[in-house]
Amino acid sequence: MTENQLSLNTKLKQKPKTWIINWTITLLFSLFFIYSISDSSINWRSVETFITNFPNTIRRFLNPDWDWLFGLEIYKFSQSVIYFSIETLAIAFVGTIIGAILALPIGVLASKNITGNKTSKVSDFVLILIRTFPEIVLAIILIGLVGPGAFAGAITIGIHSIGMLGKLYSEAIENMDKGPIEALDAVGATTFQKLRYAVVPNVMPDFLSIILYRFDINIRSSFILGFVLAGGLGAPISYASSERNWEGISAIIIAIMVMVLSIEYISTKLRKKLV
Amino acid sequence: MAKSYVLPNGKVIKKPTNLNWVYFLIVLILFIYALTWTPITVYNIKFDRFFTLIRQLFTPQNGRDWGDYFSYTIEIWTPFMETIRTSFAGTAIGAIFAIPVALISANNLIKIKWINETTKFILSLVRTMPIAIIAVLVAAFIGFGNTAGTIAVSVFSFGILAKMIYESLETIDMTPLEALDATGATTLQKIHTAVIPQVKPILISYFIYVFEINIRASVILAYVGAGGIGQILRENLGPLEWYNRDKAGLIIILLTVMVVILNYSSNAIRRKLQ
Repeated sequence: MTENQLSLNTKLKQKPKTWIINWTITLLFSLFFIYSISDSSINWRSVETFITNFPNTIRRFLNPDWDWLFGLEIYKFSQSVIYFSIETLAIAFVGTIIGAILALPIGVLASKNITGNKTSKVSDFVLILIRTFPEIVLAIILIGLVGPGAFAGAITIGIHSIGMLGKLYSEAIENMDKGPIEALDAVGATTFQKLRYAVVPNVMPDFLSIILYRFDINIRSSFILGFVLAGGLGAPISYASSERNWEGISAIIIAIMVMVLSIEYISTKLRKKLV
Repeated sequence: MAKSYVLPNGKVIKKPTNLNWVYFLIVLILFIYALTWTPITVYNIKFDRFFTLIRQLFTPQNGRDWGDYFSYTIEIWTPFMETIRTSFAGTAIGAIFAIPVALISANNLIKIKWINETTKFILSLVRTMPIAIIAVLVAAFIGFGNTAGTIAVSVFSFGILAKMIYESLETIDMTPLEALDATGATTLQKIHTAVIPQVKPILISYFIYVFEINIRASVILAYVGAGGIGQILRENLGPLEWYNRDKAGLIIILLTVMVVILNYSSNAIRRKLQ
């Protein structure tokens, strides 16, 4: 065995034994997975009912309730799926703007390069708490404050958005290019001038793209707030599903798909333009 | 009017018109229009009701003390674990299906455009569905219960995870793959030695992230009939159950703590692995 091979072998032996960790994690993961699905049971009776009803269900599903979707015939416009979809959009939009404004101060506070380590850690923790508080519970509490309706939904989304927006704002501020600020320092600019000419133009595209991204998320979450009477499509979803109204559910699904996909398309286009 | 300058060589340079105000105005008009859909009913704002609700949630009620408040954890342990199990199993099943689909959607690994585009489009259709609707549809097949919850969570997780995974696959460093190509490695070997090591850390943190979303979603699933902790939360939060709201409050605290722990552990794992 030559010197070279010897050192190669010792090098190989020095390689960290990641496989032990990997296998332990895999084993724990699999065990927990088996434990998790261990008491899953299928209600065969309902599967049977479903299979007998299947052709009927599919037929009803493929025959969406267009009248309800567009508010024709017996439905008023204010009862139609379109109406609730617009309400959902409005809730998400108002909520996003509220959140985008409220998140500014705490986003700045959470940036390490502006406020220092301690303040930023505390603000970061506050942001985590806001992010993790279940949204639907927040909606229930806020309905206690402002009463049921779309406005409750909008402020729920606004407050809940602060958590993520604030975090992403602070990341954008931390990654900001220092050059322009130093240049303005050198010419003796005031703090306001520095903010206006160095900080704002620097972070604005990032901020707008973050807000658009959050708007996408908020549309999805405003669907569900209706389950607790905070306005939007949630309430129709809940009624239609409890009545097994497949034509209705199909109409709602069409509305959601069209709305989400088109908003996603527009916001991706806008974000590409920004960055 | 836009300012213009004439350069020595005769070229005219116009200062670009600043359209920021126009955009701002458009957003403002949209905002005002949206506000008409979400009317603020000032006479409805009742701070006393709000603070009563907060007090009912986060202090012991109905003659209970703080000991009873926290010992309720033992009583709800089984449904709490049930929720965690449903979310975990759902996320895991979703991930198992998401990985191969992500591999064929990533346009740098499988270079057949129509396959990439089709799978991506199907994935975006899956992602438009709120978890509550998926749950309703699944429950129509097999009835409400843990299994329906698990399947709904897996479909939902599949949509998100597959997108996140193919996006990170598309940004991997391709040089190791080219090196393996040069040595004549098979596709599986390439995936194992060049792709997986690059995306593994991010994969684990995505898994935890989606797991966290699913734990929060379990509260929503209760509103379409799934069981677990969401069900108990919903029952104790009802308008007539004011004397039991402290139990709902404890569930909220437990869920929040759980999600905060997951959040920190996902950050820690990401830092360690990267």
